[in-house]
Amino acid sequence: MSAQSPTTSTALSASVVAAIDDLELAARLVVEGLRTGGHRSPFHGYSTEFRQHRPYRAGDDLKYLDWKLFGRSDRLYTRQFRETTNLSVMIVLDASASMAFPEQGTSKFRYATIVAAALSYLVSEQGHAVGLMTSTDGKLTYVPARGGRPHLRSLLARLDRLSPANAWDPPQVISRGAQLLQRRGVVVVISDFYDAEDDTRRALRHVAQRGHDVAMLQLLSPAELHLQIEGNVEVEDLESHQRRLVDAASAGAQYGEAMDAFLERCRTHALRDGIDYALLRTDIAPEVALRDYLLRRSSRNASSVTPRAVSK
Amino acid sequence: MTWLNPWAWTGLIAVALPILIHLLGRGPARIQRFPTLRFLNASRLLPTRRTRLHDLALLAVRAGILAAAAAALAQPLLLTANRRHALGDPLARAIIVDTSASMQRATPHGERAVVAARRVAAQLADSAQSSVVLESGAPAHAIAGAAAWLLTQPSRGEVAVVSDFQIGAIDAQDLSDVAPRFGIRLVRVDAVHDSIVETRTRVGTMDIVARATPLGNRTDVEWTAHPTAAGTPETSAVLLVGDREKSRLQAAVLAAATIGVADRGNARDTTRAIAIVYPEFSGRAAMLRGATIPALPWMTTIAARLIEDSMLVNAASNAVLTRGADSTSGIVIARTRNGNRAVSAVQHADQGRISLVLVSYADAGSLTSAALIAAVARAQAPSTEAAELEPSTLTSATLASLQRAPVAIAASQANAPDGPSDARWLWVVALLLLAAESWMRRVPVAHVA
Repeated sequence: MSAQSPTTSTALSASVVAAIDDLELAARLVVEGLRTGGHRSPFHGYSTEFRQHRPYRAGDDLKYLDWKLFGRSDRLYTRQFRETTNLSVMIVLDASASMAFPEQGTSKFRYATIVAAALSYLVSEQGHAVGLMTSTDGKLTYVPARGGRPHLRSLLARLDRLSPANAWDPPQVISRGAQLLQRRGVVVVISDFYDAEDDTRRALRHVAQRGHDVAMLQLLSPAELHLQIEGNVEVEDLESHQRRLVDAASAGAQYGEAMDAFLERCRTHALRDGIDYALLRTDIAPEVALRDYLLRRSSRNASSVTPRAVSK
Repeated sequence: MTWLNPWAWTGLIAVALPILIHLLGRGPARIQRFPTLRFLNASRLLPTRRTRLHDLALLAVRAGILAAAAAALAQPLLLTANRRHALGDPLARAIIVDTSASMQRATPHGERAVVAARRVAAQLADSAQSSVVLESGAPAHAIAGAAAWLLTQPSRGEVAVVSDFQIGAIDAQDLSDVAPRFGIRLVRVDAVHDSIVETRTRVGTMDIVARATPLGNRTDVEWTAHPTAAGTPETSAVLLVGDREKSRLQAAVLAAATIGVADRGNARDTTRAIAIVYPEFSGRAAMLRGATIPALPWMTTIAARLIEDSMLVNAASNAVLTRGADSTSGIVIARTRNGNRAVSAVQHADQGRISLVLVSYADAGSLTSAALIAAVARAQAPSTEAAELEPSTLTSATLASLQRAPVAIAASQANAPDGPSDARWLWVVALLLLAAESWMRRVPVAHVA
């Protein structure tokens, strides 16, 4: 799993990033973190229009060497691409009450906000259009996908004002978000995917089948991955407020199995439906998680049979 | 089983602590908020039932720990035979046996009351760790001595008086000499009292009879006087005088008879011969020649009583002696004011018959002579006190009100037995319970429906 790679020393920890009030600053810090260090840049996958050749320098990705030119001129050139604005990214954010967990420390929702902001910042900086679709209190909140810094600012401001509450209807929000993209684009869904599992999966599949590039970013906290309750506890559902008396001793193992099965289900179904899937943990720095996700995505696109992202 | 430190049982109040914690701890269940209940199964047991069962066992164990600790602090002592002997309530008992005249009467079983009293005293002495038996004709006066002896004893003490308890024999004032921490035990020995007591007194030629009749809590005495059958007063001694003295002696005898002396009736002791020798008796020189110092016990007793007779002493001091001192040895009974002997006592043996001879140096008709005749009568009369004739006895209720139990001396001072108490076993129990308690807390509850 990508999210389990260790945090590098240059990465800001999840809690530090989450503590930054200014969402734009937080997003920029995350994106800058992606660029620094000896890692290859993950950005090329989004930018597909050839711009110019540049003489090869040590360290350039061999993937971008122009071998045909080498065959003709016996010199090594690296292809460079020009950023284009023909890509629309719609971020679908889960703002249901279940995201407001853990109640102490970095909540899943805060983490999701930062990831969404960083993605928006990244996409917008490369000249693409980015939009937001979420649902609070049963009402859809929609920011149309556009480019430009003023739009990014307003999107980030809208993101900042969100707070998790009540339940949401993922199939409706996802379908509506995809519909509102003017053309085929990228739909990134950030959620814990607890609600309406089958309907959500069906909606995601429909979106993917309509030609959108769909990504599932599943957010979980360590406390959810490994049940951390002791003794006899009455557990209250954050969304439905139902209560259930649970004996930790017997529930622990059973919960672990059920959770593993759920995650495995999410992963295999995403793979089967051609959907990008990444599990993000709130204790891993957002930039580390994002880099892993973006790198896997670019490598997948590079070897993908679908030529969508490579050439257009 | 006894407890050396029973106050520690108040520590049992501490048992209330876990119960309080248990009651206060049963508040509403802890609530934890969680994103979803999808993967959580409800616990299969009824929660209240399970916790109650579990808690009760734990509560019992915790209460048991405290109870064992409290019991251990109370220092139990299992009374084995050895320890019982060592503890054994040591008791010092001062036993006073009444040997007064009334105790010479018979008990309903036929033995003399004083014999029964001595047997009771022996039993009382056996049941005490240390004891002393005092025999006294006046038990009330012996109490002070008994109480003083008890003060020298380290253990609990008790004064026991064995008597028939005539009225006036003993009262609360007599017993006030006994320190409050000592007990008082009054044991009555039943003696059969004559229902009517007669006392005869002879005054001159008159016999005076006092007839005492007990009537509940009082005694009526009826006095009657009638002339003696003999007509002339008897003397209790042989009077040896010269012929010229006889008339003067007659006056002295009559004078002596006016001093009333209790009459022994016919029970005169003929083995005790007493003679008074006056100066003009013809055989006087011959008698004194073979005389010795009085050696028989009864003679000494009579002599001692005469010496103490105040009337004789007063009369002799003013006596005019008609004869000078002889060169005989003997006991001087009385002297004149000048220091000359007026009366002396010697022992005379004549043909195997031993008699006490009182040698008078005063004239037969003198006051000294009359005082001597009266003193001899008094010395021979039974010295029974009037109180001893009292037929009524103290009631049992009165005796009970005078009695009291000895106060136990605090265990820490005197009774602390050697060796530790059995508290250590209770500490072991407490430790075992403590281990059980921590085990019960750690082991998760088994899922038993």
